[in-house]
Parts: sequence; structure tokens; C-alpha cells
Amino acid sequence: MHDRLRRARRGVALVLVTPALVVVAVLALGPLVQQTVTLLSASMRDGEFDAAVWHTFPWQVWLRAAGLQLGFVAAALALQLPFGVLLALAWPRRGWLAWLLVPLALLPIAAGPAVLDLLRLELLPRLWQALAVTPRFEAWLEFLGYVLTDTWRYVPLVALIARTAIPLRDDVDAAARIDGLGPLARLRHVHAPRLRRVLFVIVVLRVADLFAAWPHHGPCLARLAGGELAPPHAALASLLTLALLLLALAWPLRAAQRGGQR
Amino acid sequence: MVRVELTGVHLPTPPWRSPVQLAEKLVFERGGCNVVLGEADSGKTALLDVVVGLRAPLRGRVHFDGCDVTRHSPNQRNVARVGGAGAVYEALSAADNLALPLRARGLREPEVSKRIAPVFEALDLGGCGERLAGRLTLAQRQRVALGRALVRSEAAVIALDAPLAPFSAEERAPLRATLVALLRDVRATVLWATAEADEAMSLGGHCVVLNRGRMLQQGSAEQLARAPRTTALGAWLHDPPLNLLPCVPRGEFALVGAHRLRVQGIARFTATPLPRLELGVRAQDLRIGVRADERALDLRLAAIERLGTQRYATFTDDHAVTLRAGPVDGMLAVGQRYWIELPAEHVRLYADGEAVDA
Repeated sequence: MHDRLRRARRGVALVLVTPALVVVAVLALGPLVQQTVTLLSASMRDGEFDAAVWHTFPWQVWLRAAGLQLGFVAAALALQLPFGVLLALAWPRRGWLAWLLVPLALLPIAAGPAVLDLLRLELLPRLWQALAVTPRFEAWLEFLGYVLTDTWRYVPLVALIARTAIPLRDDVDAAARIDGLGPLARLRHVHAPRLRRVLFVIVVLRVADLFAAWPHHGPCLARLAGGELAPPHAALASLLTLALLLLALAWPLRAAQRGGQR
Repeated sequence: MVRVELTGVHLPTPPWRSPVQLAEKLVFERGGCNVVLGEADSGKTALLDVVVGLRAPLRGRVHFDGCDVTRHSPNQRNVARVGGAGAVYEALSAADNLALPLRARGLREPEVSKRIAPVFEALDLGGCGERLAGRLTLAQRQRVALGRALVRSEAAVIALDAPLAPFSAEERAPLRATLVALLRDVRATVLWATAEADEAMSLGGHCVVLNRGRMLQQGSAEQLARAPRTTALGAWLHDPPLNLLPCVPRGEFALVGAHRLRVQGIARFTATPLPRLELGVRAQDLRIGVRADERALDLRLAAIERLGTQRYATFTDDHAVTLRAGPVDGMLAVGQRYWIELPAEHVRLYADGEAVDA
């Protein structure tokens, strides 16, 4: 019975993941064939569906985009995961405040673009004008700005998702406090093991989203893109998504295998 | 080991319930096994949390050996606690789970090994020492959690909150005996919370009965069994439940159906409206077949039934009175009439469910 269930799960996982794997593999193998980065995209042009378009770019563009993109993802995650986990641990367990914080956590995501536009188009120009200065934005400052604003928008969401892995009545944390474990030891022995799985889900979600966040509206797999395309980023997104999908597929299979051995 | 004293403590309660005082003063003496008995939601866990310092009382003070520890952390109080949910560090092996609290207190590895080896053996954990605790069954996890508390031989207080809850009925009795033996070796003051009346009775020691955050009664297991403070407690503590005979006062006598019994303390109930009066007596305290007098009822044996390994007889007068007595031997005949004596020292008068002091 157990083996049959395991085989059925593996079958479902393969059915769900295989089409995505095929598409991503084709996209990922493109550069190897053509010595360039190739992206299959679909776009809306003048309200009409513009079928699939093949874009090719030289390796240099691809590498620069890869550096920026990976740096952005790494920097954003390096801020968002720890702060998100800390916020999740500090989140009230019960009572009205616990519920009130849920919409507040989602608010920055919804209001983020409007607030940023207000800041960029209205408030900051007026500030520069009032101060009589002409700001010069270096590339690294723009990079930092993207990282910080993205962190501001998504840390509460990360905390909200991570919160689901922490039980309402936390017996293990209580036991650790009684056993004399300090905050770091509790983070290591109590919270890290239980947050591992949910953090993996968060990383997959955030990485996929972060590719769309920097520096333009970067498309992912055959996405309908109304704005300017950033094909190198999309190609890189494809490659990394492939790696994540493989990892996501390998995890349950390995766990199922382990379960069968016990 | 310490003397734990709770003065004017109000236990933490859910927001929808108004807090009540646990007791003016509640004392758990040094050493020995103190049993905290109560049904679900009676405040057992809250009491243990307040003693070990996981939660602060809403009001009142907690003293260990006269020292106010109300604001001390669990680590400062030097306590150990086990819940009923098998709380373990899932990413560590069973052996490391037992070693971690000792390592956190700076003990060296030889001392750590020396302390955990006997506990491991006693709790029958030999086969899963190197297995990750997260992969153990719930019962094995609970053994690990118990071991983590028992290796803390220097702890001032060990609080066990329904420690046998995850185990099957067959596992409980031998494990309870093992735990009692292990706890005898540690020098801590033990607080054992349980919702199982028979478990509390078998543990002996000092018992505290809680009801909705308030101490209902305290004393030895024998005292609780002999003189339960309320009829509800009597029904819960005893198997078979406490016999309850509705009665009406007539001077120094109580009218029980058509029978008249002399009862101490009933004479005070003269003014109307009268409370609901009942006589409570344990099945084990009834005497069958003694001569007729003012403390005996003439009843017919209606049935003999088996409860566990013992047999109990049900007597009735076919109207208002039904009494269960026993354990009995096989010499009684169903349908025959017998005199059932209610010994004065074992009969307790209850008014509206509360015991009346004679």
C-alpha cells in the first residue's frame, strides 16, 4: 500500500513537472546550440497576440545580466529571509493583534508600486528642488534602492509564510527555554529544522518573483509581456527555474525513498 | 529540591474567562511526588507553567524556599518540565536530545555520558540512540522528552504535564513504575499533572485537585478518596462512582426514601428553601449484612456486576435508593434482602454538591 502511494505520488509529480521541464530545457539548451542566449517569448503588440519571437543576444550581455540578476537575488534574499524569520518568531501567537497583522503584512505588496511611484515622481523631485540639488544616481545606488524597496515590500509576506511553520503552542521552544538554551541555540535546534521546508518554498517563490522585479518587467517562461522585455534575465530565470524545479522534484522523491527504506 | 509556595496566585486564563484565585496559599513540600489532578481545562498546565516560569501569574507570588522567583526565567529557576506532546529537538539524535540540556549547563562530555546512560537504559531507549528524534514514534519521542528531564538530577523542580498521555494503556503501568523509581533517585520536587484519577490514586503523595483554575481540594490520595469535597469529584475519583443518596432532614435524621438514618450535621438544615441534600458514601465503605440499626438500610440485591477484576453488588429498595457495594465475594444471592450499614465515619453530607463540614 505504501509503495503504491509512493509510486502514485511520483507519477503525479512527474506529470506536473515534466511539461515545465521540457520547455525550460529547450530554452536552456538554446545558448549551447546557437552560441547565444535565446529566448522564446510571446508578446502582445497593439492589442494583438504576436506569437512567439526568438531573441538572440551575445554572451557578454548575458553574463552582465547574470551578474546583476544573481547579485540582486542574493542581496534581496540575504535581507528578506533573516528579517522575515525574525518577524515570524516575534509575531503574536494568539489574540486580535495576530489577525490584525495579516492585512498589514499584505499591504506593502499591494500599495508598494503606488507608494514607490509617489516617492519617485512626486516627493523626491520636490525634495531635490527644495534642496536645490541635482542628484546623481550611480548604478550601485539604483541597485541598493531596488534591494531595499523589495525587502520593504516582501519581508512581511515572508514572515507570514514562515509563521505557518511555527505552532500556536510551541512545546519545543518552551522545552528549549527550560533546558537553558540561549536565543541562538534555540534558533539552531528548534526553529531552523522546522522552518527548513517552508523557507525552501519561500526561496522558490521569491526567486521566481525577483527575476521579474529587476531591472525591468522581466518575463519568465513564455510570459505575456506588455512592457519592455529583458530577455537575458528571462533566459537566466529559465535556467535557475530549471535547477529549482529539479531540486523540488528530487526532494519529495528522496524523502519517499527514505520513507520506504525505514 | 525546593519548597514551592504560591501565594494569592491567579493563573493565566483565556481572555473570555475572568481570572480566579487558585488558593490563598498552595505549598508543594520539598521532595516527594506532588500530584496535580484535574479534568481538561482545569488549569493544570497553567499551574505548572507558572511554577516553572514559562508564564507569569496574573496576580500573586511564587516562592522557591522563601525566595521570590515570580520574575525569574525558567533557566534561573533551574527547573525541568515535560509536556504530553513528545517535544523533542527533531534535528538531533535521541542521545543528543538528552545531552543538550547538560551541555547547555557546561557539563563536560564524560559527565554527560555518565548521566544519560542509566536514563537511556531505564527508559528503554537503547535502540534509538543515534536515530534522529524527528523520525521516532510519538511514544519514543515522549520517552526522549522524559529522559531529557530525568538527566537533570540537579533540577530544583521537575514538572510533568500528563507525561503518560501518548502511551497505550498497556505501556502506562510499567512506565509509571519506572518513572516513579527514577524520580525517587533525583532530588527534585516533582509536580505530576494528570487528568486520570486512577493514575493520581496510584501515584500517592500529596494531591491537589483543580477545577476551572481554582484549587478544589488538597491532601493525600487516601484523604481525597475518603472525603471528596464535591459530589462531582467523588463521582470522578471513584470507580465505581461515589454512592449518592438524596435525603430530606428530619431533626438529627435524614429521610432516604422510606428509610431513616442518623446523620451528623444535618440538624442545621431547617430553614426553607432547603438546599439539595445528598449523602455520599464509597462502595468500599459499605458493610453488608450487619444487624439493623439507625445507620442501616434494608435493601434488595438487584445485581452483581464485574468492574475490572472485582465484583460489586447493586442494592435497591425499588424506589428512591440505589447503592453499589463491594468488592463482594460469591456468597450473596440476587433477589434476597440485606441490611446495608452506612458507617458514620464514612458517610458525608453534601448540600448542593458541596461537602458540609460536620
